[in-house]
Amino acid sequence: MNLLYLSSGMFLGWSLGANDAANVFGTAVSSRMVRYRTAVLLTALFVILGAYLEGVQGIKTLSNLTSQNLLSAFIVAVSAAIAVTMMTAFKLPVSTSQAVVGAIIGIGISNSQFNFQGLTKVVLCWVGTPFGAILIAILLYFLLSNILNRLNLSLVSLDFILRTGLVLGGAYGAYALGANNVANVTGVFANTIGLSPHLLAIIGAVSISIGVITYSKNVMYTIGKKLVPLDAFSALVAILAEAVTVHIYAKIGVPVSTSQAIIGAVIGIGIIKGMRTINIKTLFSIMIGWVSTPLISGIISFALISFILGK
Amino acid sequence: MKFFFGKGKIVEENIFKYLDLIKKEKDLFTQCLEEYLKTNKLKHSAAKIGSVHSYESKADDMRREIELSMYNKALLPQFRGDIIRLLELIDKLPNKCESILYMISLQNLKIPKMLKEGFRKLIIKNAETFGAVHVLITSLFKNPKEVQAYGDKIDKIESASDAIERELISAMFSSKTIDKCDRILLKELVLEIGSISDYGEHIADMATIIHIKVKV
Repeated sequence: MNLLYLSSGMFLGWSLGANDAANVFGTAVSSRMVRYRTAVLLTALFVILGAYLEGVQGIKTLSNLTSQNLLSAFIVAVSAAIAVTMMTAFKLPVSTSQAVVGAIIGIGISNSQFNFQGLTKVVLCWVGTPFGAILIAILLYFLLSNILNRLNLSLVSLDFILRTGLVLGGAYGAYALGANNVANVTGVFANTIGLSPHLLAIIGAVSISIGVITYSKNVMYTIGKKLVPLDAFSALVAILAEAVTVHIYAKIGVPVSTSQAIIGAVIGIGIIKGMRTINIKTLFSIMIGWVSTPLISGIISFALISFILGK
Repeated sequence: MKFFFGKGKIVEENIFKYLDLIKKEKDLFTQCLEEYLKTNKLKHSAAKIGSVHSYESKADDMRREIELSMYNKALLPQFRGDIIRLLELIDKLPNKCESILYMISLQNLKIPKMLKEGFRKLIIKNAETFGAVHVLITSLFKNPKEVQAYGDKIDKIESASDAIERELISAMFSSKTIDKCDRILLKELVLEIGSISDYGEHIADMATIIHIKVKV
């Protein structure tokens, strides 16, 4: 029975992998610097590493946000997974963290047990993520371009540096994704299912990896091509800015959205290159996705719990 | 080294081999023209013209091989189109050598004695383009900060060639001993030889653009 409950977390992990893999390698794949197959294999590997080595902290934070029983944890995961999968089908990069928190709020409203103090910290970090990524991307762009231009690099050397940087940056991003976001997948089961946080981290990470490998192409091109057309150097800056931003939050212990971090980073590059390079229509669709994801998952979880408990 | 730098390094090496091939063709081309200036005939150079054609053909094959590796994801995507355009411009040089030799040979052109020194200067000046292009492309791949200086050098060669072309055309049209029809054919020959340095200038412009784009 526990496995049935946990399967909802694995479904959520799969949907997170399908949506969020784009955040770490989307810019590299779209700028044609890294092959899609290489990208998904590296992402899968480093997500597992990050989740195992540094994912436990986030699991503890999320599990303390609200006291979930097995049923409500199951509903949270299923609701969030449905919301994220819907957005992936629409090719929109969205926040799994927000979907999870939206579902928790739905349950909290239903049983009046929600901890609003914990929510304030999470929401503050949500707002801070894209703005932080914009700032970090702008700083990194100027810093790295200055260094590279001073080196009198040849075409071949620049190619080598950017290609290697994109692979390493993507691997780091995948590591940070695993460290930070595994909490969204199995964090809600930490106090209910009787498994250790480390084991939950591994189960979550493997589910994410399967999502990465099976259904991640759609969102990759939204990030790397549709929002701001990126060259190889901009793609590298975006990946690094996203990874640094998410890793900072993983250290704080708050699961944040890699989608919001990468979109922030890409917008930061768009600001440097001129606002006209940003596709406002795509940006608007993404924003709509961000607002509607927690809303949809909240409505689903509220409806499910109300239906099951007959309220 | 190749292991670390991958396909980009292979493309670089093939471009250098391609430039060496063009240099060999240029050497044969100038030998043919020297003989032509001495004898007004290319009869003894038939084998050399054949070799020029063979080098031109090999250069074409090598260029296509490099272009294919570019389409196969070598080097940064934003430079692939530029490098292919650069190679196609460089390829005009061996093509031009071959077409000039065939022009002289097929039209049986004779250069009047009074114009021979001018033609010799024009050939020497335009042959310099090959060396300058070789150094320019090498610097683009090895030491990009020198690209601008070598580009300027090619620009000077082109200006000097233009001056010689004008002198020659003026001389042949002022002459009362050269037939009107021959004047037109010789003028065409002057412009054809001069177009080598014109292509050199286009190559230098393209290399400069690539160099500027390398700066991030």
